[in-house]
Parts: sequence; C-alpha cells; structure tokens
Amino acid sequence: MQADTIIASVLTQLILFLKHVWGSIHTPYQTYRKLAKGEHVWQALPIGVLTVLYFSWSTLVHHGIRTHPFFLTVSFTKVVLGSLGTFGVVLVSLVVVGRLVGGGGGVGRIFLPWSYSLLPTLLWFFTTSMLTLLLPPPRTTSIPGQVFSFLFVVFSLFLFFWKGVLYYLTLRFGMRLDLFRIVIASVILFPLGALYALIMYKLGIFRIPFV
Amino acid sequence: MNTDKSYQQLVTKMHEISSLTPQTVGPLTPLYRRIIPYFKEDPWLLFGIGSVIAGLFVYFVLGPTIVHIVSILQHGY
Repeated sequence: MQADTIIASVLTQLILFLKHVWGSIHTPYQTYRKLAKGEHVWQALPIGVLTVLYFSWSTLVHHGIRTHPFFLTVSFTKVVLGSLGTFGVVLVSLVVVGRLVGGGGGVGRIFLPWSYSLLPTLLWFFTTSMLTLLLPPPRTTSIPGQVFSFLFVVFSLFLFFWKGVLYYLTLRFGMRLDLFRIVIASVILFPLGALYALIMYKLGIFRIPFV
Repeated sequence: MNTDKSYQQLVTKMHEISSLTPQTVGPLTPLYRRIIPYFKEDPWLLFGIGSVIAGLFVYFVLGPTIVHIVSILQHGY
C-alpha cells in the first residue's frame, strides 16, 4: 500500500513537471501564477536531476573521457556545488531585493518559478556543449562559419528572451511586484549578478554563470 | 449554487486572478495591454521573430566579427 502511494506521488510530481515545462513556453503567465503558489515543490526535482546530468556530461566534454577519475570527480563536484550555491544566492537576492523595493513574497513562493526558469539555461548550456563537440570552435569567417554564428546568436537570443520573461514572471507572481518595481529591482540585481559572475570566473568555476 | 463544483472553481480562479493588481504603465497602459497578450499565449512566436530581428541587427553591426564572439561564447559552457 505504501509503495503504491509513493509511486502515485512520484507520478503526480512527474506529470506536474511535464505539464509546467510545456506551460512555461506556451502559457507562461498562467503557469507561473500556479507555480508561485509554492505547492508540490518536489516537481522541481527533475530539473535538479537534469542539471546534475548536464554537469556530468559537460565535465566529460571539457576534460575528455581519458582524464583521471579523481580529477573528473573534483571538477564535477566543483561545478555542482557552484551551481547549487549560485541557485541559493540568486533565490536569496531575489527575495531580499524584492522586499527592499516593496515586494511581498518569500523563498517559498519563488522557489518553483525560479527553478523552472533554469530550463532555458539548461537548454543553452547543453546545446552549446553539444555544438562544441560536433563543430568545435574556432571557425573561419567563411560563409558557413558566418551562417553558423548567426544561427547560434539567434538561438541564444531566443533562449535569452524566454529567460527574461520567466525572470519577470518570477518577480511578478513570486514577489508580487509591478513592472516599475521589477525594473528598480533589476537595476540593483544586475550589477550584483555581474560582480558574482566575475568572482565565479576568477575562481575558475564558471566562464558563463549557470543562472 | 454555492456548492456547485464549477462555481467553486470559478471563484478560486477569480481570487487567483484578482490577487495581483492589474499592471499599469501610465500613459502607455493602452499600448501595454495591446502587447501583453502576445506574451501570455505562445510567446515563442514573438521570441522567434524578435531573436531573428535582433540577430540580423547584431550581424549588421558586428559583421564577420560575430564568428569570433560566437567562438568565445561556445567556450562558455
């Protein structure tokens, strides 16, 4: 009986996850309104699993499969801890700055919205690592090189716009801020984010921060 | 009527929608209300068009330098 309950619960979370992934790109407003209620937090687990899988993959792509397992483990642990730390720092920053500008939410309300906003991030990082493997840079300024670069920029911008909307909706529904306050919060958050990215770069954890 | 399931769902939905005050942006509010529906349903259409336009703009500004920038970005993962 207990096994049935566990299976039913896991399936529920999985169905909710798939439904909200679909909703994040098709009906983001409606989906984020629901996510900001903070119910069924375990549905975010697949995002965590996908992130860990991505970092396992990227560690292998970065260092090569023949690298010593100890070195691979250290590198993998470093990026996983770095991304976990970054996730926590971003959550706390969104809440603190959100409240500073008059918002009324908390970590419980923005946890799910911000977790789902990692989908475009994951997609960009995974695709970039795949492309690096298939079509390794640097490339020449020939026509195929320029066409590839243009398509890569268009793809990156598409995910950037998607991320931007999910960021806005996290603050709108999670912190209950209006557009004007979101702009003020962003003016505070973005320079802090740039500083954090610089520290991560100097520490050799991320070249582009995983946010 | 108050025990009707559909009615209860409607009330919950109305509470959900009215929990946030509608967004206004001063004199630009009518324009805002015309644009925002495109973000509410299938915004990927807008993202697609916007990213192609922005990509063309980036290409015309940078020219072949775009290749070097993409090479740097590709090392960013």
